[in-house]
Amino acid sequence: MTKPRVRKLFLAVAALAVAAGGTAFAVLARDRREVTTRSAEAYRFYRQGLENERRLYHKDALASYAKALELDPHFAMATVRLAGLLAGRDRDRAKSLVQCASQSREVLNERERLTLEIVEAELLAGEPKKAAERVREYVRRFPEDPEGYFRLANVLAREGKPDETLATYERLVALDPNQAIAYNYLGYYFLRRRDFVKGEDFFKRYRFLAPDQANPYDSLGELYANTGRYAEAEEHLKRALEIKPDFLPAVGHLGTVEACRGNAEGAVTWYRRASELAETWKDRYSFAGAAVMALLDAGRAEDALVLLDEVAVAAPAREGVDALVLRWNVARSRAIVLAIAGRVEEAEAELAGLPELPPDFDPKGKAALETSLSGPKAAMAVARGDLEGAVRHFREILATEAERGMGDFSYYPSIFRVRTRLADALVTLGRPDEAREELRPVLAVNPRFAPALEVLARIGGRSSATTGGAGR
Amino acid sequence: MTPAPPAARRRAIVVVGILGALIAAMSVADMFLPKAWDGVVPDTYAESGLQVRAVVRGGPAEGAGIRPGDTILGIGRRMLNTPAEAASELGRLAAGETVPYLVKRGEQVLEREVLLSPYRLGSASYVYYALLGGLFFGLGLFVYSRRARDEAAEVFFLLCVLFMLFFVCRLRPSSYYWIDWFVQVAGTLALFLLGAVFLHFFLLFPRRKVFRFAEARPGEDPPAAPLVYLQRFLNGSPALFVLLYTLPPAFYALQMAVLRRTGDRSVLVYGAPRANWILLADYLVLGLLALAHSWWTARERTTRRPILVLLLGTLGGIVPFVLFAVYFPSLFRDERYLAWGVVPMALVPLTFAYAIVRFRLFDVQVIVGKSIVYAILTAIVTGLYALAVVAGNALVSSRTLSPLFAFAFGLAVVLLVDPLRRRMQAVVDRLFFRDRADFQSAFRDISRQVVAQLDRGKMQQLLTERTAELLRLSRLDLLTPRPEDGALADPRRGDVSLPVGAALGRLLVERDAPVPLRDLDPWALDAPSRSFLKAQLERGARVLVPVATRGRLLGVLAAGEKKSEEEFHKEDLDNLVTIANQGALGLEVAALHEQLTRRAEVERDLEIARDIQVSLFPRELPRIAGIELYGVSLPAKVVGGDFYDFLPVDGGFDGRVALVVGDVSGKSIPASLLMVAAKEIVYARAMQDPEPSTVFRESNRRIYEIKRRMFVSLGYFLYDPVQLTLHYSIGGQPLPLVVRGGEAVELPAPVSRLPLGALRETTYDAKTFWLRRGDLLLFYTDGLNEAMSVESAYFGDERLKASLVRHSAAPLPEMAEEILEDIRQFTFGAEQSDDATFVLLRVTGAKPAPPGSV
Repeated sequence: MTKPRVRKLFLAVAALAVAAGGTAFAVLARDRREVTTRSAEAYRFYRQGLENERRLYHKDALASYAKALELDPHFAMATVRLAGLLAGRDRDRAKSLVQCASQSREVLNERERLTLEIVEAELLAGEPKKAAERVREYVRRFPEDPEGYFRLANVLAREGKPDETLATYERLVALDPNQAIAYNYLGYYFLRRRDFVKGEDFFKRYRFLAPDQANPYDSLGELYANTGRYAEAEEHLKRALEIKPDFLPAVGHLGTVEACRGNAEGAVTWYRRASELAETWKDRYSFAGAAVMALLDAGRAEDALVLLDEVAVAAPAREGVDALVLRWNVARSRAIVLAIAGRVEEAEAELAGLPELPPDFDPKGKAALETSLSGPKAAMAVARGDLEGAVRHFREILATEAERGMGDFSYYPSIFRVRTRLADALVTLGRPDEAREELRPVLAVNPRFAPALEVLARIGGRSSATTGGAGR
Repeated sequence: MTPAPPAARRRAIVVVGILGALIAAMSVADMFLPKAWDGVVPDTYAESGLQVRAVVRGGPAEGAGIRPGDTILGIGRRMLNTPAEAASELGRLAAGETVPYLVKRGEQVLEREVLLSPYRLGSASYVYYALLGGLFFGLGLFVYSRRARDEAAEVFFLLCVLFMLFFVCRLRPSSYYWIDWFVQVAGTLALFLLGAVFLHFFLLFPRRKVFRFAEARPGEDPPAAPLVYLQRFLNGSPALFVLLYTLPPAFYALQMAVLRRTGDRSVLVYGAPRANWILLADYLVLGLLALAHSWWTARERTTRRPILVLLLGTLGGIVPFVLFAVYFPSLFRDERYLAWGVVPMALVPLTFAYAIVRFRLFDVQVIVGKSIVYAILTAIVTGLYALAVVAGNALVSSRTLSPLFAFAFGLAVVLLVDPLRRRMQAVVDRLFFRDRADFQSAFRDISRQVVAQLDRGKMQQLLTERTAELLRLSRLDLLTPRPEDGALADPRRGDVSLPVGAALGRLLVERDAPVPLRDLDPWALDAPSRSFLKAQLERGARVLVPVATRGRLLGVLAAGEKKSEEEFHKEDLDNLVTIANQGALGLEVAALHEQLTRRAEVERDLEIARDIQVSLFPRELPRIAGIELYGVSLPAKVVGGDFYDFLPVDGGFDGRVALVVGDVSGKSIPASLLMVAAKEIVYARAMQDPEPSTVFRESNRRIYEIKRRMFVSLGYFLYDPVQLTLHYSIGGQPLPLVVRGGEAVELPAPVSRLPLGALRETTYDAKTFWLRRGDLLLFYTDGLNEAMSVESAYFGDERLKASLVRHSAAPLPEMAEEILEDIRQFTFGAEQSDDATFVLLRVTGAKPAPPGSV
């Protein structure tokens, strides 16, 4: 073969190789883009939104998805994501967004269609079972997609299957050990099970993978706050606020740190600040409630009452059952504050003025509301000097919590405070051993829980009660 | 010499060596490649995750607080599950970067900042390990290159390769890169095989180990069958080696299965199962015991010394290794003393190297140049001197002593240098050169004496007894051709012989090299060779060495086994060949000497014979009336077969006289003897009856009986002075010439002219020739007319006739001289091929002349 021929042949082969490579790349790239959009810029914002969502920067995520939709109004997945974020705040708008996304069904790929069906079942049809079934189908079809596992874990958690939830997260991290947010879920799973070592382990993995996010520091701060490692908690929470100054949970957990330290005034400051920063009334009410409890700890019952009233007044207008529940909650809280302030008659009047629950009220909800009255009753018993009655009511509260599996760690350590108050009453009644037993679970989790240590000091048996600490 | 391994195995060994060297080179090169390195030594065998087996001392990981036993969960904000992921992550990072590591230690999860280093070499210890590995490999390669066909050298090479892989690959600081996995696996394989090969080697070296604890002794009960089986098993049965090499992988598989089931990683030491380490140690200890046993049972001092040196060196290297690098970590999980175990291992290759240089171990001869050694010595001494001067100066300056001290000190050191060097030199000489020099001197001495010795017996003694003593052989026989039949046999014990033409003899000449008897296939030889071979084996011979020169087998050296019971090494065989060559030379010299002696004796005898023969010729020519006579006889050899004589048949020379000219076939002694006999026979017959035909007939019968196929040509001329006639018979002789009237013609020929002794019965007739005054007759044998020139042309009858005529006028003695001169000119220096005899007779008719001389 002559030299020019060889050269031509070589060029032809090279051209073919380049063409084949380009085609393969295009096909692969297309397959790898998991969402349908005509705008690369919109896609970029969509990715940004996903990232913000994983970082739990919901406000930023909302903005990113909104920007993506601006650039491509037919961007179905951005619409679906936005709806998911708005579902807790503005359900109607969320529904409307899902309906919009549904119109683009024909152009979506299978993955998107399944995602859309999940959201439609949850938001439009209100069929959680169907949604769960579609989620499972999604995982079956796309076993390599972490998104499916997140959704499945949510479904399982909602179905009350903690072990399967855990297994799902474990599968997720086995599939992709760099899914940072999965470690957050795993950490909380173990935190709720009082396995603080494992919880810390996962939170640290989370922090390792996402050191530029506020949430890992907040999660670790929360764990440290509740286990008595206040300095570390403070350090982490402040680091979270450095990264994102308006990161509400971190502010709230700084209040937790102070509350556990026994610095009620400090706790009030952080809770109030969190309440002020909160964007939703629900959050505001939650933090205000914590602030109220802290004010009571500080002996500022009147201030607590004022704050409570302020929040109650600011509550958005509600109707039907929602309004009734709000009324019960406000009244209960007021009764507690009034009782602790020594205004027992007013507290009694507050409870007496509670509206009747209608016969068709959800029995579970009704039972919960009625049980929640044990708090004000205990407070009133203490105010009246009926310590035996107080002990009984405190135990009713704890029994309820036991039934609920000791619940989450709330911003204000209310359950620990109930036990502490119970122990306090028992000490006054001259039953130190019982008091010590009541303190044991508290100190087992947080051996430096200041109110408990104060009671323990009254008992004079600190050493025996501090056994079985929570780790460090 | 252990048997040569098959070619396929040799090739496999070479491939293993090349692969081993490549892997080791890769490992070492990898250690020096600049790449992001964290100083973590991962556990290659961890089932999941990235477990830290060790951290390199002074490395980045140690600086960051990472400890052995930690599990690395993530590097650089990426979670990891395998070393490969870590390698990939580190590949993205650059040296000098500070990278977060997420580490799990027990229940705790820690984050550590690691400053990645551009070097992977954590400490100098790896350099040492690598050098040690290189030392082993170099030594093994050297031995194998010299002794590729020796099984022990082959196993030694394999052992050295494994030691190298073990040190370079197994004990290296490693990281996550694929190359680490690769070399670690190679190191683990080395760990598996090292102990087994070590033990295997010492079962072959210094000689194949043979256990004899279950041997039947005369008069005792036979040993128990299990003991016999055990002995057979231990004496190098294939099953032993199968077991030896199968145990380590079996232990590994078992331990790993247990590990998988229990998850108890404490069974791992340096990432490999503890059982394998312990097995390695056990094998090493057994190998040492085998070596110690060899030393204990060695009979010869020359054998014991190198084994003792090896034993001490190997003990010094292996025992600390077993203690600190195997048992301590395995039993107490304490790896702090690893270096204590590894550092002394250098003793093993160094001792082997020393033994090779000093004792020609493996039959490898290393010539260490004295000049090199002395140069090194001088350098060392000079270094010491410089050090001393520097130290002295430092001492002076620190204590502010007098500056004269430095000068005096320096002077003292200078004066001490030479004595010190000489002392060290003496030690080195003693260590390296004296034995060799002694041996070579003794060997040279024997060689010289063998060649110089002309006495066969003494030479035989030198060749056998002294050489056997020098080479430490149980026996050495020299088999030389037996005088009676030429068969090769030991003159001292001639019962075993190798007949001439036997196949073994031809084979020895063809090979022209030492032939170990066990390498010979008896069934490829003929029966005499087989029986010879069998007898030699029974006598304890192990090697046959041809003593040959120019393809001629002069003898055979039969060497018995070495007193050390070692195999014959190359140098032993070379020495035997040298001795055989010297022996061949000596035998030839001796043979030549004997030949010369014999020849001298023969010559002396010939001289005597010649004297006797000369005495048989007439001392004086007879004075016969009417004729003149002159006779000449020139034998071709010292003694010849020609003769002439004059017989006074009537009792005196005044009567009839018979002129006899004879020529016996053949030459030298036999011819001369027959000549004497023939002459006597003819004389005796002639005295009884001078008639020529009668003399011929009777003499013929008698000569025929004396010696067949030897003839006597004879001219018998009876001169009658009265009638002036010649009455004659001629058998086998040329006809005499007569010059008459200036012309030479032949006398008339009788009818029957057969030489005497040709046939038993024959008749001869006689002729009569009437002489005249002035006739000149020439009676001669064929040596005269058949004298040959250098071109192989005969002088011939015509030239003879012409010469005779030409000189016919001269007196007879001058005439004889002129004729001879003509012949000499014709032959022009060519060697005389036959006896030449002639008699001149001139008829004068006068009174007899005074007697002439012959």
